[in-house]
Amino acid sequence: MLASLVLACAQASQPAEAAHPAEAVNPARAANATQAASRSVQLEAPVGLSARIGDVVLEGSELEVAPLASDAPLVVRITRCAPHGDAFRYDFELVALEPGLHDVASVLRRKDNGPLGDPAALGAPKLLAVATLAEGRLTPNSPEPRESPRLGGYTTTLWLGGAAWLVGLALLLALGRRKRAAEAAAARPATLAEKLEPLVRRAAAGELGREERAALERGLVEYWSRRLGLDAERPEAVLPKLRAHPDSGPLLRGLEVWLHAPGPHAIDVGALLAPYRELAADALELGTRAH
Amino acid sequence: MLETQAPLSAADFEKTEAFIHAVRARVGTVVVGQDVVVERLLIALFTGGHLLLQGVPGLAKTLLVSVLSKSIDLEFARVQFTIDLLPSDIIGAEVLDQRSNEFRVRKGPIFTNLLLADEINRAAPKVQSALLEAMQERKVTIGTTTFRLPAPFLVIATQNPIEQAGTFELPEAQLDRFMLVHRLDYPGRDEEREILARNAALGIQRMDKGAVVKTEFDVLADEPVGSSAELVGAMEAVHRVHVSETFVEHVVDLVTRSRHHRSVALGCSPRAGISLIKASRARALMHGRPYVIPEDLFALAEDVMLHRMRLRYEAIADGVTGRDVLAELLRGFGGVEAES
Repeated sequence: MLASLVLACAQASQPAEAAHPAEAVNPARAANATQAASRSVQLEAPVGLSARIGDVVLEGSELEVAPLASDAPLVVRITRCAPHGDAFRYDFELVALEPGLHDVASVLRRKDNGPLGDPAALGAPKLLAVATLAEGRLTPNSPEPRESPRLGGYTTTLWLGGAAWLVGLALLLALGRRKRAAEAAAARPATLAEKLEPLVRRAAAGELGREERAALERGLVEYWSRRLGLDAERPEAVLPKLRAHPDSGPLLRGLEVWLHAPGPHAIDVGALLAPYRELAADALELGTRAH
Repeated sequence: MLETQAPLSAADFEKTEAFIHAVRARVGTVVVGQDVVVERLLIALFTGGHLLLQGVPGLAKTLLVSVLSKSIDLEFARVQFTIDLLPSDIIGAEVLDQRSNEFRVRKGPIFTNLLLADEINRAAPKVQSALLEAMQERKVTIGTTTFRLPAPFLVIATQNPIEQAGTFELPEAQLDRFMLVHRLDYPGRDEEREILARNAALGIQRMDKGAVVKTEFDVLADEPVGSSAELVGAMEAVHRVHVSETFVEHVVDLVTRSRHHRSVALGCSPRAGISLIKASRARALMHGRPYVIPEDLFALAEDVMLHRMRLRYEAIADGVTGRDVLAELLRGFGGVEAES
């Protein structure tokens, strides 16, 4: 009886577990195996995937798989063979390489080279191979791109996370330092020379406003008091010394006439301020050290 | 430009210069050195401000004021301030005339041109206040009658920087009434030698049947070298001294920065700026210029600004002085330093 056979019909996704020989054998019903020899079992499996069947009792002497030709449409492997009275009980693993109905008996032969007899009467199982490819298509589609599997395990993830945290921290520190440096650069007060340069340029062009004229004069007083090393002098003593000095005197007296004396004057502002048009940013500091 | 009148003519300028030169020369015959103090006195006189002299006794403050008053034919009075002085001792009071049985006003010593208030910090605050009110308003009220003080009216007060026990320090609001506060220094070595030589040559003066040792006050010439009219001319000339917009900017900048300095709790008031310009005009005139220059500002900043600034306690605890702060403000004249 066909129902007495425990068939392990392996599906493509779970071939082995369901067809384990130990689970497939039903000893109580093995005695009736010979009665089932005339009726074959038909399995169904996709092309290329294995199907298993166990406890198949076949009459006669022991059978074996005949050598396969290179283009054989069916591959059969006997995974277990045991005497069963006058017959033998087999477990088969079947793989069809072409679609269609394949008879296992077509690839079997007697180990003692005796005649196999009518394959249909032998009662060997049949395998219906179902093609998953479209008709006429011989090769499968190229694999779909898939997400790469995760690299490593939990430890690797921890290391990578730690490294990312360190890199992030380093980036934050670097950005913070750069920002602070930029702020410090922006907060650095302009040197006296840097302040003077635009004022002198605009004064020569006659574009100075009231506050800028005052700032220019203050800047030049500061410039010369530093250059002549008068920083430590009492403030009220600085200007008389600057006015009397041969280097700074002409400038200051000219500025006084230009900026403070009433009425028209004959001061050439451009010529008066020409030496101060292109002062180096550190000219003052250098000048101070030199004296 | 801060000209309110016509510019100073060359003739007026020369006349004023000659007047100033004569006064300074007369003062120089009696007082050795102290050129800066004489200059400050004349600045106060020409601009209608008041002067506080801070210095130890014996630096010829009284002599200086006395000779100045005689040089210009001005009235001079001196009041020694003490703890028991009353306001009426200075401004005057109503006294009962026993013959007419009516109250009669007796004017105090404040009715003069030059008032020397010696050691002003020794008087009680109500006396100081009475004097300072008169300085501000140039008038006093005795009883129910208000009297205008003579013109010019100049208070020259003195303060001893040491011996502070039993004194009443002038508060900032009252100090602000003084246009200038000048700190007197000891004379230099040569000046000191000259002072001694002159004093040694004074000799004695016969009086009645005896004689007294002559002092510098005894050799003061009574003949004035300048008249009140010339003084008024000089005061007018001061107001014709040109003040440029740039100079005003300097003053505004300096006064403003004094309010934002890290060591200053109370900066200069606008009155400081006004006083700086007034005093600079007078100084420019005395230095032969019809216009002010930053040198005037630098020279007068200490006398005009220092008493108008109050330092923070933290700065005082750190040993910072007002002179340090002012020097820093002026050194930062270029706008690079002294930012708060």
